[in-house]
Amino acid sequence: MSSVEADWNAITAAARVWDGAADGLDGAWRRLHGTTGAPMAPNVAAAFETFREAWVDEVKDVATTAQAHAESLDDAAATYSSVDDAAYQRIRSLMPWSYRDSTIDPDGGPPPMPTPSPGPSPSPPPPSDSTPATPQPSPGPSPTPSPSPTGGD
Amino acid sequence: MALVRVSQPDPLRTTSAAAASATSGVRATGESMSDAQESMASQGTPASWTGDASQAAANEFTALSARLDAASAAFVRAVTVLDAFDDTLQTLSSRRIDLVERVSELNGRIDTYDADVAASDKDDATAQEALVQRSANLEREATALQADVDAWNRDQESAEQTVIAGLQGVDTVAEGQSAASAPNRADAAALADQLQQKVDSGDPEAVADWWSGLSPEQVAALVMHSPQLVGNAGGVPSEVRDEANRTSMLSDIDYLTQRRDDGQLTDLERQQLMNAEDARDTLDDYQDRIDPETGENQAFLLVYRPDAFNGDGGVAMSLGNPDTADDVTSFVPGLTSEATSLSGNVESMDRLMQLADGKNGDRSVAAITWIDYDAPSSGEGLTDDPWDFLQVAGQGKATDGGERFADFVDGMRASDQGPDAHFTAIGHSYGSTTVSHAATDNDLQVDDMVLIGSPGTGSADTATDLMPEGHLFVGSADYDPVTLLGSPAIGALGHDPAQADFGAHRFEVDPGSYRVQDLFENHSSYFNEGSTSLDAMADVVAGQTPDEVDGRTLGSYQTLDTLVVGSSVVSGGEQIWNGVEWTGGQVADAAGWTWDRAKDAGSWLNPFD
Amino acid sequence: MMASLFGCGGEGAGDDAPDAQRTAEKTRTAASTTFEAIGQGVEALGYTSTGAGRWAICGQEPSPNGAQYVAEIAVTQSNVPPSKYGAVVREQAEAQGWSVKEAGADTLEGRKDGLTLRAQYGAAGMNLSVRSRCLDVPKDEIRRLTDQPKDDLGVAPPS
Repeated sequence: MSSVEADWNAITAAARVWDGAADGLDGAWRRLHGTTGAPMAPNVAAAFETFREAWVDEVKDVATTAQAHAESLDDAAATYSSVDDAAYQRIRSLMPWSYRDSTIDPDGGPPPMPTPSPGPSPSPPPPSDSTPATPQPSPGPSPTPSPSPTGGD
Repeated sequence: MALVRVSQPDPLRTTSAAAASATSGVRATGESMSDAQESMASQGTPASWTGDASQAAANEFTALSARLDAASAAFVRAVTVLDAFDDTLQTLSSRRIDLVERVSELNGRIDTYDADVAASDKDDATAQEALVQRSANLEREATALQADVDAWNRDQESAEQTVIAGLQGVDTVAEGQSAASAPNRADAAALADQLQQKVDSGDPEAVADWWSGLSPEQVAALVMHSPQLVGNAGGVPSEVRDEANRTSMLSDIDYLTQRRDDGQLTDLERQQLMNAEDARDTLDDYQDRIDPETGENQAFLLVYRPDAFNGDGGVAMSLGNPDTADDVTSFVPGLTSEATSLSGNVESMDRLMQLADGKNGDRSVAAITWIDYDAPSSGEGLTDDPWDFLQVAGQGKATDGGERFADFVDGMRASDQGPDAHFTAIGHSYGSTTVSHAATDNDLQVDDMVLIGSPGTGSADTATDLMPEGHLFVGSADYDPVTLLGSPAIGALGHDPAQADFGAHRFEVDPGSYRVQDLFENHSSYFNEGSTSLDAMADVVAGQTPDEVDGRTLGSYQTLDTLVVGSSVVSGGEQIWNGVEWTGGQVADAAGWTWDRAKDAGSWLNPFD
Repeated sequence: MMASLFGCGGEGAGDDAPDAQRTAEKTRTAASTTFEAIGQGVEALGYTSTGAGRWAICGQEPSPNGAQYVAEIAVTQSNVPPSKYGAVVREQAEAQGWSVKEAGADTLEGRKDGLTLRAQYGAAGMNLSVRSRCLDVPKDEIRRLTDQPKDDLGVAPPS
């Protein structure tokens, strides 16, 4: 068995992608699980609940798998040592596609860094119109008058 | 001769609200899945790759994104049939009401007939002949009406069978996979690109046009894929914007709650979560409010952008459907920029809406609260003094806000159904400067404008710079210090529109309290129950003209310096003009400023006591 | 001391937390009995919920002048047709001691004990609400009250 130097930065980054996906999917299956069909007619509610349970199971399974992948990669990265070929193939299957040809060649240079996405984001990045205005000097009246009466205007 | 009464139709076993609520949960789940699917797909095998399939399958990003794609396809089908069910339920509901009317009426006539028979003279052949004739007619009517009732009952069953069959068609993973590879499957990503282009081109009429050509499945797919795009796009029907924004809101809450429980929230995400929960709580406040004509829930989330403006968030909510209402009003509040002020502002508009609804006869009203601009706030490090905000903030945010507001109104005009609604814009405090900019810089498409508590009208020098003659209404309490910033000459935020020579139609507003510690309260009294200002605003919204009072002229009112000094004297001279932390411990900017109350309040001199 | 000659705030000479609690209870009680009576009168087949009560601000942000308690429910289905809703509401409300008047097309208002009843109806149902007067409580109390979760009115589902 040959041993392989893995790119631990890339692997950790990929773990974060799995992690973010797992969080999103966790929220998803819980939401679905909590959506009741009860206020609808009983026959409709029953069909709805069958649909719901089937997909709660599937989404939960994908969520759990994603979480497990994140943990596998984090565990592997934590060892900071070279791994045997079989273990490395396993890690490779959890990595972004673009990573696949990068590290096997012992004569090759350092692997290219993949660019993982930061996981599901609930909203687009802040728009560019959000820069605060520069404060201007106040041209208005003095805010602290003397308490002594001065009479009318 | 005994006649059988017609039976009432069965109860409607599922209300539209119940169906909508279940669909909402499915959509929110679908959005989260779609996000995760795209994230994984972007790390998986590219579509263009033509190598060994087993290599592709061995990549977990590829494999899991395929599983989620099957789930998404199933969800699109499910939402499509649930939406159709909701539509059918609304039709069934209005048909039922009709039938209930007819059944009550006919059964009433049968009761009368029975009474007449009992009271009749059995020996009067003519009378008996007439009764037989009546009986025959009533029986014919009853038979026909019973047939209609029976048909309705069957239609309800059939609607249930349709939705059940639809759900059963996608309740397994294998069925999801079939749906995913169906040749006519809606391409949500491509539809989102098309919509984005139309939104970017700034033409909400084009958006409305394009939208009306989409199939129900395309709508379901697009809303689940890109709810934040759909929910905030002018020209998209308000009902759909509401569904899409609720979808985003729920899935945001789901995701960010997970992140919070994992201890991974960033500051921006924490604010986003707060904004999402605030929108949800406000919608929840109106859960028991329906549109009496359609039975739909009356609250519409028209704008939902929880991360806008560095986390302050952009939001807009309507009570009443603005696409169908005859009189629509949109309110732009002032110095509060945080979404946590949403519920209070919606409350004020609810009060206004109810009053206006009582004045406009059979016409319907929708009242929008719009807070989708970067209003000045102390959170941006300008100053803790609420007074200084107004002066230091300058007009930049009002100018930007004006453009955003004008765009929003254009969107409402584009999604408006039927004859054009009568549209009134209401701006308070810094919001009035914003609305003014919308008019002078961006061709704001409203029929009437109300400015209350205005510190200045931006670049407008006269009423007709803002609206045609007779369509600009101004309410300024004489003891509201904010309204004195622009008078008598011109202030940092423009002219005082309450000045007589500005040319607006000024309506009566209670001047307010003359104690210095209450001056800022006077700035927030325009929506007080029973006030002349609330009544006048309701008049304008209902298309009527409130009574006019004189505008300000030199000598007829106190300028700011005089007001501050005079009211300090009245309060015993112990008070100083000083913005402070509000008693609730929150920094003065958002909701509630109070002036420092002297501990020896009882010893204040008040010449009016 | 808190009363201002210039109409700043509610009618009480300053209210406090116990006043708020009493007001909430009084409003809820009046609401649930009145809603049930009207619901029975129109032979309601469904409501939006068992009814909800909450505190709302009076006046306006950023400086609300008080808080009021609002109890609401909506009838979503009935066996009495909407054309008869007005007559039923008037009859049931008056039997409960409300003095009823019209407040716009298809809208009735009632007054009793400082409370306001409102019924707004149409082809698809009816909104019912009972509101208290505006309580003149300090700002931090307004915040505390409006932050509270909703109360369930416990209106019985139609039989």
